[in-house]
Amino acid sequence: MSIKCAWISRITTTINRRLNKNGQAYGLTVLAPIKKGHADVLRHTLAKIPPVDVDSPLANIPLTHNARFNVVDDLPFVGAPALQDHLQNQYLLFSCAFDTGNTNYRSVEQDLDAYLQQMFAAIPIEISAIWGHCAGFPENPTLQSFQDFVRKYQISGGLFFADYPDNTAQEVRRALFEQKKFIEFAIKAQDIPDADPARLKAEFYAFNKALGEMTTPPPGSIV
Amino acid sequence: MTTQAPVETLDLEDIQGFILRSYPLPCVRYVYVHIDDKNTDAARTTLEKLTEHVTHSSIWENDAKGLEQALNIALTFQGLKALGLPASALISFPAAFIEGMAKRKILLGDEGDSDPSNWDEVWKSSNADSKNAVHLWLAVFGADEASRDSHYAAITKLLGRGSGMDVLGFEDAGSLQDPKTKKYLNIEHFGYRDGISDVEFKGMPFPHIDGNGKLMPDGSWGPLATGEFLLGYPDESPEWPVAPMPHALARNGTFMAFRKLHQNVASFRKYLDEQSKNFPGGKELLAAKFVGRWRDGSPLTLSPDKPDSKLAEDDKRNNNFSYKDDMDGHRCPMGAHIRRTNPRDAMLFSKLADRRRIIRRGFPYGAYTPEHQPANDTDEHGIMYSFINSNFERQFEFVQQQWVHYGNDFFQGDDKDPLLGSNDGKGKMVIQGDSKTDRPPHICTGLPSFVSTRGGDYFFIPSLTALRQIALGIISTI
Repeated sequence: MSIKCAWISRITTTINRRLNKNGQAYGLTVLAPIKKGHADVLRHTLAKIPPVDVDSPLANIPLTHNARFNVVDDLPFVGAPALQDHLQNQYLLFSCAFDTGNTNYRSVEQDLDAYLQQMFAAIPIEISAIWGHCAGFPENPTLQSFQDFVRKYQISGGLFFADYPDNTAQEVRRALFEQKKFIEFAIKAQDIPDADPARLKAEFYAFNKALGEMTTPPPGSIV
Repeated sequence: MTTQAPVETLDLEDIQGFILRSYPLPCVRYVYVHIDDKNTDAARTTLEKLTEHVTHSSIWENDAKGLEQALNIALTFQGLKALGLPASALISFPAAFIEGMAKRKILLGDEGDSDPSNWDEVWKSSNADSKNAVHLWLAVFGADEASRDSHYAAITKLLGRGSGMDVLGFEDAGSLQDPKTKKYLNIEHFGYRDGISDVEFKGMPFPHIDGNGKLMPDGSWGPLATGEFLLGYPDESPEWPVAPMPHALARNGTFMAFRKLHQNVASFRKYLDEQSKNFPGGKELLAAKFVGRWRDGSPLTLSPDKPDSKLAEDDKRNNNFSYKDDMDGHRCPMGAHIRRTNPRDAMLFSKLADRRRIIRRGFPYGAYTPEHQPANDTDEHGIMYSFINSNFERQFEFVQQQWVHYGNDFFQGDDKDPLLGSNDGKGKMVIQGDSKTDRPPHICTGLPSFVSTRGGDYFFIPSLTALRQIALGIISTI
């Protein structure tokens, strides 16, 4: 549904943007039209990006929970009768969940700016190599023109499901890491003779202290 | 007692006999046959003659009384091709079947020792060289070894020169025997009674038994949909299972993953001895926690503290349980073998389990080493397994990938099945504690791979109708 009335649109856009936030997590969806004839080269570029691990360029944007690029060709209805809701363009979908660190719905615009700033600083070459195939992407992008481009093609989710609405990616990685270390401790603790409570307590404190000094695995790593 | 009478009747004379139930025959010979695709006519004639000997399910109308010998047949995709099935029929088979077992290794967890590059020669060369490809699988059963051998002799007469078929090799398997008394034992090499749980689906000519079918919303047990196990019938969704064309080729047939599973007997016993030193319940309880059943077969869910041989022997009770009073795994651990491979109601809804059920037909091979006698890993000993289902991807492969080699559905992280998982010395299993008795949880670590795959393939088990039509060369989609 498109709303023509400017002042209603201003209100609904504001509400919709706020719906992109679930807890402290922000669901960013960008649907940018691909320049005619560029989709195959874009697919090739995307295919060569290292997959999910520390080598992925997206791992250099620490606020990222998860992110993916998809090339959308058209909108066929799979069923009978066969229907096609033709798109005027092929589109590049960027779907991403990132941390804002706050649960304030009024700060959605600042939250998005902060993420795009981190993204632009971390992977400017990849941003141009990927979105450069989309119509309207600035030739020599600045942070401001990149942010404007994303906003132009952003669509609001409305029902944003977040795996971890209350925890940052850093916290999740830390929790998984500590869980793994705790299992290792629990296994070792099985060998404490007669399950001596005093020794168990002492060893747990020692474990806990050592754990506090261990560094969290880097973004993109599978814990 | 709740009885859900089967509503469908099956054409028993059209369905191969070993699909519905295990024969009361303790000896089997698996024969691997290559079909000469330059001699299709001869091979088809041979198949027609073989089909006359194929044992069909009408033997079950009188509980297989008097059955002394049996023969069953299955074909690989390459085998169907060699028999000259038209391309229009060949391309209608599911992709998993067309690719075959070795190519699906990532899904099946066949890595490390179980990798196809480490399989037995007959399977390695089958995968490497189309001239040595296993096309036809015969299972020749007998009431004893002599009976099996005489049946095999009669059947191989059909496979001689000019038959268009070559025997690449065969392997014997059968119920284990007591080395002294030669009496047949109902256990496998690790000492567990095997093959207790069987599936019940609509149309089977057997009395209903609670526990074998599916859990109904009211807590009773009903038969599963026939289409989960036979092509040409609605499945649990309820849809028609994906099946090849034409209909006559598919109906009453099904698919089988045939696997030779080597058992590392010494490693298993050594691990059990060492781990049980630190396990409060002792060795037999630990062995039971791995599987979810005591070695005599009595389920932990019904008998958590000690084996119950009366329960184990009672076919009406030994598989009749659910996990509703054991959701936290204090009786049967959440990662135990039988809870992984048939979770019943252990997950959110039992419907999830109803679409992943598999018929198992297994025979041990190799000599049995009784407990307390020196065992080894290297001898040829293990189990030959037929996993029968109508959809490899949804049933066998899903169970292998998600439930045997992963544990997330059971809140067990990436822990694998303690028995079947390719644990490779790094495996872990949590045996949940009991908050009522204050028994603490126990974590087994350093689990080795107790079982490795040594070969096998994906097979189509045609109906008798389909075998005859393939033999006559009249399969057509036109």
